[in-house]
Amino acid sequence: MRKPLSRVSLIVPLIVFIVAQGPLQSLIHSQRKVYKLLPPVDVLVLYQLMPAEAITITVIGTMLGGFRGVAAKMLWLKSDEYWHSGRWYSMLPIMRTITWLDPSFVQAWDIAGWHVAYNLRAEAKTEEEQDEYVRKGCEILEEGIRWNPRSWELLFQLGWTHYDKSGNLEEAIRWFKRALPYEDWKPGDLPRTHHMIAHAYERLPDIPLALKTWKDDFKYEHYCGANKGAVETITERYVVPWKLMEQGRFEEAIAWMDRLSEREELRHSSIVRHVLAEIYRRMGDLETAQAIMEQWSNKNKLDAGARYKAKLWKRIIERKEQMKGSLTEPQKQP
Amino acid sequence: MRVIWVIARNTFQEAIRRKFFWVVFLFALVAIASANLFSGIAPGEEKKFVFDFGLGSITLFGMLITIFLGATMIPSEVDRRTIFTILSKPVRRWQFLLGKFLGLALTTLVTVACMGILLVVIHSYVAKGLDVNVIKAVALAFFQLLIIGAIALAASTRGSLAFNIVFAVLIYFVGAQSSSLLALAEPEKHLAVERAQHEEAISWKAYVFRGVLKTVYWLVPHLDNFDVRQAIVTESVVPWQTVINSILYGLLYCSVLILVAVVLFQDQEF
Repeated sequence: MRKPLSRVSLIVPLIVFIVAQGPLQSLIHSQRKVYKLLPPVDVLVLYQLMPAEAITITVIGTMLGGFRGVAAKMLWLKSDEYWHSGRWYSMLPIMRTITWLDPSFVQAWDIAGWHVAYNLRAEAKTEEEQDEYVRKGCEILEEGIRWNPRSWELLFQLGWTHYDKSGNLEEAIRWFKRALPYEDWKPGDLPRTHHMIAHAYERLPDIPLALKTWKDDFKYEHYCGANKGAVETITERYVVPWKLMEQGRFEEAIAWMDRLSEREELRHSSIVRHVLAEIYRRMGDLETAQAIMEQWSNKNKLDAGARYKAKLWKRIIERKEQMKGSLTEPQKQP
Repeated sequence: MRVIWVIARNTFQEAIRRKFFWVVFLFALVAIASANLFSGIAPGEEKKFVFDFGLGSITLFGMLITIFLGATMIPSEVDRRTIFTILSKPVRRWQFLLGKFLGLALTTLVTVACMGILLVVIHSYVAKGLDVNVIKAVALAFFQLLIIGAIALAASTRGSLAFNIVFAVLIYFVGAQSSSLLALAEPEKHLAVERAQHEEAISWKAYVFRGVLKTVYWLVPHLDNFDVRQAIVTESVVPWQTVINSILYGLLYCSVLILVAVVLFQDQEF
């Protein structure tokens, strides 16, 4: 009669399992990471931040495994309820939970990024806090783009947030340009992206590229009020001073811009200030350029680009002064 | 081999004679068939919703069927005293157990296949074309359920019915979250650097906590290995290599569980 299997005999297959499981699981894990099959954000932080009722939906949805998408949709309805009841801060963890449950839910990433960069920023007390919210909003959108790299909506929204809120126009142009090749746009999205690239070039400023972008726009929507008018005004107002600046004739370029800024219809023009500041910057007078941008950003709170440049250039000037100070400071005798 | 097959066939026939099986199975079919009716809560994403809801139903109802059948397998034989008749014949205990497992696997296979075919048909109708990835996802769901069935069966060799069901359900819940367990155990790889540094600075308790989580992670079945929903809803390709590796993992885990069950069952006295 054969002996029954003993418990000791378990050890061998268990060791085989543990040895084989490690590399196999690591391989599966790395493959799942590459193919974006793993959850996108850490659960710990979410569970700490989530309101109680959201936790219930999330736990049920995720534990039942298959219903993550359905749980995300339910939370989406919940977030709408929070929005209407003014619980703005509670909305964020819910939205992050939605993006965790269903990272392909483009609208959730879009609204979450916008909510942080706009609504929560508006509630912030200090300028530092405001900048932090805008940065966080952009991070959420970037994370959403990593999961949905072909989403025009997210790429455009990130470009727009940089243009309108962070003021980093180079970043805005980069994201708007990334949005261009995708064809999931609705009617009007393509010219809208194109217009935004041109507007960002106007404020960067890079007048030749702004002009080229507006002219290229004719291909997309032929002549419309916007592109036709933009080509005419840029040619009339900014091409000459820009050329003068490039030739090193800064005084003449500044005189031209001063005359422009005195015109009644251009008293509120951002482009005039950006071009003028750029001329001073290229002339080597960063202090004046910074002062122009600071003054303008105080006057026109909506020009995030001016605020961004004013801050950036201020930091550069301060650093230069610090360096100067450290070079001129007499060395102490030992 | 013939003995094992006879037991497996009987187990399958016995399973499909149960009222519970038919109630859950028919409910699952109705749920999958009506997935398209509920897709209104996700306008513009009907295809995604149908797949998500359908696969969710397959997993949930398949889990209920597998756990219930697996957990009742040995206790019901003992209650009805049929186990004494069977084991008094020239049937070895491991053959009995393996036959039971194969019967359970066959029942799960038939159940998942029926639900899967229905899902593929409805999804193809909504998506206006067949998506091979849906078939891959259904196949992976079957292996996920197979592991759960093996756990329920292994538990049923010793535990009471209530214990077996609760144990298998809990393992399912933890297993379905295993990648989250790893994220919690290795925050530096998953969180932002400064937050991870903050975690590092907490205390030795954090290390103990992480150690426990990691141990649990390596012990529980990684059921989320079988979840490829993300790739499907984003219309990416589910690579065959991932599917094969996950199936291999499932088979490996099931083999060990059956071995554990056999050893636990060997010296069980009735």
